[in-house]
Amino acid sequence: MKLLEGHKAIVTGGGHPLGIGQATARLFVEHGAQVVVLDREFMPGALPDGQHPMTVDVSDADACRVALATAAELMGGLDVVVNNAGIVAATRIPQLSPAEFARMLEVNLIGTFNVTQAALPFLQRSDKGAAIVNVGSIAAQRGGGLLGGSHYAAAKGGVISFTKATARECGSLGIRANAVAPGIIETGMTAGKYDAERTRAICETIPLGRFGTALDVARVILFLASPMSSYLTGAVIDVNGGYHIH
Amino acid sequence: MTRLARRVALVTGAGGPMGRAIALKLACEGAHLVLTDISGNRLAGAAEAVAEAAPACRVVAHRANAMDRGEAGAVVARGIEELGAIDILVNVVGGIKSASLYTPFLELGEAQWDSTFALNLKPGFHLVQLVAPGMLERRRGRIVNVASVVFAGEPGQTDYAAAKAAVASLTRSLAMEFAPHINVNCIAPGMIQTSVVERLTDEDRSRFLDKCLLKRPGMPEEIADVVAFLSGDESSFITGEILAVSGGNHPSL
Repeated sequence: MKLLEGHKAIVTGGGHPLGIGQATARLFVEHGAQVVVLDREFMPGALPDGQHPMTVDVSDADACRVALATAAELMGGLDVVVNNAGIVAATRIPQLSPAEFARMLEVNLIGTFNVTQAALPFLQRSDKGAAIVNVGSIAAQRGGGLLGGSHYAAAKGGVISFTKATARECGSLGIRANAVAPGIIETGMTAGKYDAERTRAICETIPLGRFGTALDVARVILFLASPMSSYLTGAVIDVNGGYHIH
Repeated sequence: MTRLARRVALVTGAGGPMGRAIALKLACEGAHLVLTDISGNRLAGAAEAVAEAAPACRVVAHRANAMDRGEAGAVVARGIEELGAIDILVNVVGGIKSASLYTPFLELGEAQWDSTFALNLKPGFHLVQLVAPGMLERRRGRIVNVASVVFAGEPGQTDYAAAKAAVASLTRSLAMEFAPHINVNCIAPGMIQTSVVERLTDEDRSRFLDKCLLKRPGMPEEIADVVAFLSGDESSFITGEILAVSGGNHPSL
């Protein structure tokens, strides 16, 4: 059963072939959606058929407005926005510069706001049940401590709060807003960051006994984007194999 | 429509609006079903609806009071005998049995306290103990419990809210005990269009809707969709989660 037949979707941060964004875009196409992928750069071969690339830095509000309008015109509307674009760094507080902290917020949090704000006029006109899906992180819930530092945890915490506020403001417009909170996921972002011994030690503490895959997260994003979740808004779904049951 | 092909799901409380919608959804996704309810009539109605909507679905409908170990055991035994094994357990049975939906705590009788806990916890206690050993042996299984958004606390529903909080807590403990083989999750419905909603006064109804961001009660089908999600491969990396299906009326908002 195809879950997004005829839907028009934007996925940010889908330019890396191993990322959650690209896994989501591929799954959306499989489920019948048209997809425009936004990213700062596209790695060669990242985009299979059926996805339209658009080069945008989500921290640039004007560029987001242009991109969203262009994408909505290209697809003939907009039903789904996935705010996945993000960066990560583990810099500790004493070494963090204000500029690095600000950049983390600009991309992960303000980028989510920029794309959401630019998307609202189009989402309001959706006849399929408009949905926004934001990508938070386990770092927001446990205070970083894995690959993300305090700035990453704060930015992702902001994304989760912003998701709830979006749900509150936009529910009556027929727009749902939910988030996923991935645990440790094997992507380009995490590749090579854990050696075999550390991987084994961490996996012993994850109830499902393994790191997640980009597809594990993409499938939950698909659920939140689709009419299967039509009575969910303001929710944050953990996709962490039980690593953080709170 | 084959997301759950060849899997067998046991649904309790299958005769009520929510259980029936869940049974229909899982059947339409390709699962075979073991259905039970305390009312033989309602159970037969659900089984007929499934047969009509999903003719390929094999259905075992066995009336039982799932609060009773012997009766719950008979449901599981018959399900396994006729359908081989149980892959998915959906604990729907529960609710508020008292005449009034709201009883101030100081007027709450001990009998109601006990019966609310029994109704909302005993069936799950029995069925998980009966079904999980097979799942652990096969190293695969899904358990979906049904709590309620009131688990976070609700004046006038102290017994029901506490019992549902216990369901949520049980979900987390079981997710840890049964990992990595069984994913155990819980949904927390908000106001859903069932017989309970019809019993609400206009005042209580609008109080609930005020807190609901989507400004409407949910439909049983919208609960069923989420149960299908938690029963299928899309949620393979989710365990120990309590998922509000409430149109945005939930404790963390």
